[in-house]
Amino acid sequence: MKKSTHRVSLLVALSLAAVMLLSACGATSSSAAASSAPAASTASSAAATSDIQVAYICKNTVDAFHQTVNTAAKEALDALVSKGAIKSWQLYDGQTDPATQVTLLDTAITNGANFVIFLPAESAGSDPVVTKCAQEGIPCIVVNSKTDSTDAKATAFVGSDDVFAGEMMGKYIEEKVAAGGKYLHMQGVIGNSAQIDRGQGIANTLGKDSKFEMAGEYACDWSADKAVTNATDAITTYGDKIVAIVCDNDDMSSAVQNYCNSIGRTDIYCIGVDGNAGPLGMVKAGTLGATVLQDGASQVTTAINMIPDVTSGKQVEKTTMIPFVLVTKDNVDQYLK
Amino acid sequence: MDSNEYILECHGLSKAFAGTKALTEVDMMIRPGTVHALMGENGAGKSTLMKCIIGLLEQDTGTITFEGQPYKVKNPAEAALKGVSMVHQELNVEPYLTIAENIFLHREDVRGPFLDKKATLKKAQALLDEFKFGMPAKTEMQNLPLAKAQMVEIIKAVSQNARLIIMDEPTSSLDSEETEHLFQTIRDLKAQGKTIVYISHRMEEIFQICDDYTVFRDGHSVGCGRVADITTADLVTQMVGREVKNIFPKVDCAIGEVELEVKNLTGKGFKDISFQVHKGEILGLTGLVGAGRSETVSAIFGLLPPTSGEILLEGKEIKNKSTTQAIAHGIAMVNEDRKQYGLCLMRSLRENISLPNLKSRQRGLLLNKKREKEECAQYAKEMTVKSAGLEIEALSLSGGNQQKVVLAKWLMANPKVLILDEPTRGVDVGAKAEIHTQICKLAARGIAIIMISSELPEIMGMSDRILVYHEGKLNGEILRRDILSGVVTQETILAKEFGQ
Amino acid sequence: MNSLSKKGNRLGMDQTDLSLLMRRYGIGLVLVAMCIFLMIATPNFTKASNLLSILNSVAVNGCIAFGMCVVITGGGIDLSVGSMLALGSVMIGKMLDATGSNLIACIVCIAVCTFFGLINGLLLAKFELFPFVVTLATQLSIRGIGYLISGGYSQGLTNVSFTNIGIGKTLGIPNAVFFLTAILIITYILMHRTKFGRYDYAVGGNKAAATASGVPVFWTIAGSYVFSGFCTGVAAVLMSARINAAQPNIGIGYETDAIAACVIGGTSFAGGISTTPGCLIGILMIGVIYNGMNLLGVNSYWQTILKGLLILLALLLDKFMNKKH
Repeated sequence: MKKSTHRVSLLVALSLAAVMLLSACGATSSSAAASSAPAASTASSAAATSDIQVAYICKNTVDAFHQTVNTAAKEALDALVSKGAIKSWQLYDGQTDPATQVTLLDTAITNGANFVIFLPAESAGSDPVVTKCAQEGIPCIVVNSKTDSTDAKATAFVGSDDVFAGEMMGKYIEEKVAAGGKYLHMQGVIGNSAQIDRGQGIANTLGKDSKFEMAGEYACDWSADKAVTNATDAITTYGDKIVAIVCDNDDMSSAVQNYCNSIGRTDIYCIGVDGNAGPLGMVKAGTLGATVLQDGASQVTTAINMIPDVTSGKQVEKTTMIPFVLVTKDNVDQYLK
Repeated sequence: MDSNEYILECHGLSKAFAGTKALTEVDMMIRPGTVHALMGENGAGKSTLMKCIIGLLEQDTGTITFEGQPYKVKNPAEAALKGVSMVHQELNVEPYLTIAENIFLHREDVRGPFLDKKATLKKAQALLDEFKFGMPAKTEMQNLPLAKAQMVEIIKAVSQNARLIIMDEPTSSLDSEETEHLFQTIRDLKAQGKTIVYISHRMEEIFQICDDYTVFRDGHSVGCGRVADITTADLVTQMVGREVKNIFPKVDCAIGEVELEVKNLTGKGFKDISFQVHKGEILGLTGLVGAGRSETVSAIFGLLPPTSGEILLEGKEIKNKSTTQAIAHGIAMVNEDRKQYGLCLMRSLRENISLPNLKSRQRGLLLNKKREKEECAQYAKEMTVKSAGLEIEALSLSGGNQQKVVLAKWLMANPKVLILDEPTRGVDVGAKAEIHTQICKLAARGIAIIMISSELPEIMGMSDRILVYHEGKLNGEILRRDILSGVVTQETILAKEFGQ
Repeated sequence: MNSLSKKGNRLGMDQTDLSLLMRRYGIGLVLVAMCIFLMIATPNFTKASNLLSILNSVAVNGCIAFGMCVVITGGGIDLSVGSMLALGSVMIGKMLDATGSNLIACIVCIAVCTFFGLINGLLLAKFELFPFVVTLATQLSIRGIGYLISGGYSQGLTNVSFTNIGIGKTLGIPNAVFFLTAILIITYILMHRTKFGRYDYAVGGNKAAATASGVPVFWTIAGSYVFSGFCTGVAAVLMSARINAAQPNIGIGYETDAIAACVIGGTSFAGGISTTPGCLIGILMIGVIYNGMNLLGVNSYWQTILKGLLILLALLLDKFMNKKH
C-alpha cells in the first residue's frame, strides 16, 4: 500500500507541475515580444523611456464592458511597445475584488513595474492602490471610475462624466414621455463611483421634474437578473402608471426592456449606460429605444497614450473626460462592430 | 437474600418505549467474581437492560443496587466512575487517537491548562505491559486489528477500576485463537475479583466460560441459575419458549453434477486453491480469520479478481471482473456484514428484495410496481420473513429477519451458485434454526452453496463437505459421514485450522 | 501482525512513524516542489519583498482558515465566515465614526464576530441539525444584518492609524504577518496542547465514543464555532485596514478558500483528522499559486483551475492514506 500512495502523490505532483508549466507557456506576458523591440527600434525617443514596465491592473476579465476595454488596452499597449515608448506591460486581473487589486499592486512592483494603469473595482476599497503608488512615486493613471483619493493623488484620471450620463438618460425620458409619470431606477453596486454619479444625474433631471415621480429605486448590483426581478414586482404593483425604467447600465436596461416587451408593455422606455454589444443590437433591431454609450475603449486608449508624455516629464491633463453618446436607431450603425 | 451475596441486583425493572414494553418487572442477581451469562433472543430485552445499567437509558420503575448501595447513573461516564463499564459489540473507540489517548480520554494528565502527554503515555504503556499487550501505546487505534481494539476497551475499563464489566457479544468478530485469548483474559480478571456480564449467542462459549446465567424472553427474566446445573437444550427452550429440537436441521438432498470449480486460484490472501461444488451441495469453508476464505469467495464473486487460476461454471471458464458480471453469470453472495453490504436499511423490504432483480424482472422503461409487489411478497413468504408487511423499513426488522430478507433477495435472482459468508452472525437461536432450514431449501432447489462460518457446530451440522483453510491454503477435506460417525470431531478440525 | 488481521473488520495497517509523517505532511512536499519550480521560472519569486507579499496576501484568508480547521476537525463546517467578515468590517466603520478609537473598533469587531460564532455553536450543539445547513442560514442572516447596519454603503476609513494596522510594518515585517502568526500559534496550542483540542478531535473522530467517555460534547462543539468567529473577527480587522474601507459586500466566497486551505492541508472533511502545521501549508499553497501565476502573467482562469486541482490532489492523498474514509 505504501508504494501506491507514493505513486499516487508522485503522479499528482507531476501533473500539477505539468499544469503549471503549460500555463506558464500560455502566459500573456509580452515581455518576450518586448525584448526584441528595443533592438528593432532605432529609437530617436530618449533612452529613458525604454525601461518603463507598465502594470495594467484591470477590474476584471469577465464583464462585457471590461472585455472591450481590455482589448483596446492591449492594442494600445502593444503599439507603445513596438514604438519603443515602453519596454513591456503585463495584465493583472483584479477579479472585481478590491483586496485582490491591492495585492496585485505588490506583485506588480515585485515584477518591476514602474507605471500603473488602474481600473478600480470600488471607490473606497480600491483606493490603497492609488495611495500606495503615490507613496512609492509610481505614476498611476486611473481609468473609468474614481477612487476616493484619485483627484488628490493620482497622476491623471481618464473617464467619463457619469453625472452627465445620468442627465443624458433623464433628458431622453423627459423628451419621450412628455406627459410624465412614474419611473423606476435600477442601480449598480452601491458605493461605486459610477453608480453614485449616474444616480446624481438622474436626480438632477427627472428628480427635479415635477411631472415625474420615482416609484422605486432598487440596488441591483449591475445585475440584469436582479433588475428584471425588481421590475417584475414593480410593474405588478403599479401597472400602467410606470412609463420608464432608468438603469445604471445597459445590461440591465436591455434585459428589462426585453421583459417589458414580452408582457406587451412596449410602451415603457428603458435606458441604460455602457453601449455593450447586446443593447446596441437591440437598438438596431428597434426593440430598444436608445442607450448611452460609454466609450471605455477610448478612455483607456487615451490614458495609455499619456504614458510617454508623463515619463518624459511633460505636463498632462489631470482630468480628461471622454464624452458619452446617446445611441439611437439613427446613429447605431457607427458603433456596431 | 443476603445483599452481600450479590454485586449487582436488579429488582422489578420496567421500561417501555412508546407503548412497546421492552422490559417488564425484570429481576437479575449477579454474584461477585463470576462470569454471568445473559441470554435471550434478539429483542428479548438484554440490550435495554444493559443500557439502563450503563446509564444510556433510565428505567421507568424498579431499583438497581450495586455493591450494596442504591445505584442510579445519568450517563456512561458516571457509570464508569462508579465501577461499571461496558465493552460494546460495535466497538466505541476513537479511531484517530492513539491507544493512550483512548484509554485516558477525559482523564488526561494536565500541567496547568496544557496536556501532559508524556505522563499519560507512560501510564498507558504501563497498563499495556501489565496485560502483555505487545504494541506501543502511541499506536493509532485504527491500525489495530479488531481483537486488539477490543482488548484496549477492556484495559480501559480495568484502568477505571471497573468492578463489573459488561461484554456484549465479544467473540462475534474473533477467530478461535483470539477467542481463547479473550477467555484467558476473562479468567485473569475473574481471578482479580472482577465480575463479568457475558452476552452471547454462542452456546458452547457459555458452557466454556460462564458460571451463572439469566435468561430473557420477551422482556421478562424467565430463568436463572448455575450453568453447571443446566443443559443446552433446556437453555434453548427457556430462550425460545418452546422446544427446538434441532438447531441444525440439515435435510439431505440430491447432489448433482459439478456446478462450480476453481483451479489453482491465487490472489491476495490465498494460494493455489482448487475445489468443486456440486448442485444441491453445501460446501463449508472453515478456518481462522484471515486464513483466506473470504478472500477466495470475493474472487469468485468478482469483488477482487484473482491474480491467477481458473474459475469454471458448468464446465466453462468465466472471468468475473465485477460483481455485476458475477451476478449475470448466476453467482450470488451474501456478505457477512449485512448492515453494510446486504441491505439498504432505510428502504423498504420490497425495494431491498427487488434490487438486484430489477434488471432481469422489469423489462420496460417504467417500473411495474404491481408485479414487483407480488413477486417480492412471494419470495419473502418463501423465506418466512416475519414482518408487518413489505413496505416497512429493513431497519426495523430483527437481525434474523433481516438476514432472511437478504436470502429472499438472492433466491429471487435464482442463482446457480450461492455464497454465504457467516449467514447467522448476530442472529439469535430461534432464527438461526429457521435460516438453516431456508438454506437447506435453497440447496434442495439445486443451487450449489458455499458456506463460510466460524462457528464449528454450525459448519459441522450443515455441510456436506468441509474444507479447512490454513494461512491461505487448503489443509484438509472432511466428509459429512465422518462427522456423523464421530471420526472427525471439533478438535480435529480446529487442529487442521492451526496447521496440523 | 498479519495473522491477526481480520477479514472485513480490518481497521488498518501497521504504520511506522515515517509513514505517519508522510500522511500528515506529505502535501508539504508538493509545496516545496511548487516553490522550486517558481524559483526557476521567475527570479522575482524569491525576493524578500515578494515572499513577504505572499504572507501578506494570505493573512486574511489564513486567519479564517485556522478557525475553520478547528470547526471541521470537530465534525462541523462554518459557511458563515464570509458574512461575519463583512459584518465585522461594517462594525469597524461604525465604531471609528462613533468613537474614533482604533482599539474600541477592533474589540467591538472581534466581539461581534465571536458572538455570532457563539450563536452558530449553540444552535448546532443543542439541536441535531446539519452544520452545512445551519451555517448557510446564518450566512444569509448575518450578511443581511451587515447591509442593514451600513445601509448598503461602503465607507472609506479616514483614520490613517487604523489602516496602518493592516498595511504597516513593524521591524520591517508587515503587521498582517504578525496577526497570522499569532492566530497560528494560538490555534496550535489550542488543538495540540490543551484538553479542548483533544476533545475536538474526539468529537470529530467518533462522537459516540466521546460521549461514552464523558467528553463535554456540547461545549466542545459550541467552542469550536466560537473560535471560528473569533478568528474571523481578527481577519475582519485586518481586511478592513488593508482595503481602507468598511464594506458590507466583502467576503463573498471566502468560506470556500478557507475550506480549500484546510482540505489541502490534510484536514479531513469527516472530522477527527487535521494538523495545524498542515493547515498552514494549505494556506501557503494557495498564496503561492496566486502569486506565482501573477508573476508569470498567467491568465487568472488558470489560477482557479489549479486551486481546484489542488483540492482534488489533497482529497486523493487523504483517501489513500486514510483508508477509513
